[in-house]
Amino acid sequence: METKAAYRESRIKTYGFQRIAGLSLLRMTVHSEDMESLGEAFCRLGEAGADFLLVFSQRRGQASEVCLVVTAQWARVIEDRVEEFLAGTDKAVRPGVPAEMVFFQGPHFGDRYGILEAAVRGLAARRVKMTAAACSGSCIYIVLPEGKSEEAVAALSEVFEIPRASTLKQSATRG
Amino acid sequence: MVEHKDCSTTEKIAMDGLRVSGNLALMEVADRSYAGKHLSRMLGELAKAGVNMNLFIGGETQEEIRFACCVAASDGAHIKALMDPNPELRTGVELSAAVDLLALFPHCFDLKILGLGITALARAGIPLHGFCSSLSAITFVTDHTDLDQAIAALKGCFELGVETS
Repeated sequence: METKAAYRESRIKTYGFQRIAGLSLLRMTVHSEDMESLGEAFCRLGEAGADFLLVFSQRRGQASEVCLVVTAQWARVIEDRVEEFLAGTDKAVRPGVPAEMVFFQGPHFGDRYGILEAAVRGLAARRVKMTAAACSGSCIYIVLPEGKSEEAVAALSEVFEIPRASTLKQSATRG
Repeated sequence: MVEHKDCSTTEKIAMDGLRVSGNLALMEVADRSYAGKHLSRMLGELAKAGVNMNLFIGGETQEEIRFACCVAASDGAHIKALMDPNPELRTGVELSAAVDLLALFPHCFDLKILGLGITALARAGIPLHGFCSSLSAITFVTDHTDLDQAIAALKGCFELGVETS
């Protein structure tokens, strides 16, 4: 006999929203045969002290589109290094675009359906266009164009429950 | 000119561990015809059906919607049943064969750790369906048939404290 349990909240709980401005979104499309070179470029950049805030990648036919969200100070350095390591290969490294990011987590985010849908619905209701979304653990990341993260937090606050204690942190901006 | 240093010559980096999640299917959606409302609608249908997503990567622009998500393999038939009668939803949707998620942690937001992971898997000839970071882990999506080889490749670069599944 199988027992199935479900847990629903009328308003999904979060631990509050984190907002980061002053970022750059780098998009690079690299052929699968050249992923090793891309990995080596990232290694060297890491050794030079470069870090990232978010990375996500999807396959596009025989290539992978890799998106890196970094602080604006590293964007140009990363672009240049990747261009050097992948010189002569079939790739496209687009110049970094100014971006902001909102991320949040809540109880059981990692194993519950409908949370990302609530976020997308909340943003759409306020006509906030996101650039991308990524989640692979208990945290949902939303990448937005420059100047849009405050609107995004306002829109998400209408859909999700925010604990009182973290409401004050809501407007804190890192980076 | 940047020197092309071989990352494999460096010492293994100590990591807390590698978490493997299996029995998953990858759903990829690429659609230029319904951009704008498709993402919200598609996620709404999956939520109504109670389908959990272990991983989601993607977004939408004026031109297209493109995303990839991992769902329990047992939900694959459920998703097909949802999409099949609905041409608007099934456009551009592909459900792949079994995949695994290999989550390496902690990444410490260090590009070297990301780079070593990508390099190790690429050198072992393991195709990546995608990857994504969270607060502590970098998760790689690989074919289930490559699982043992992928773990071995990562162990070649990282000293893994714990391996869980």
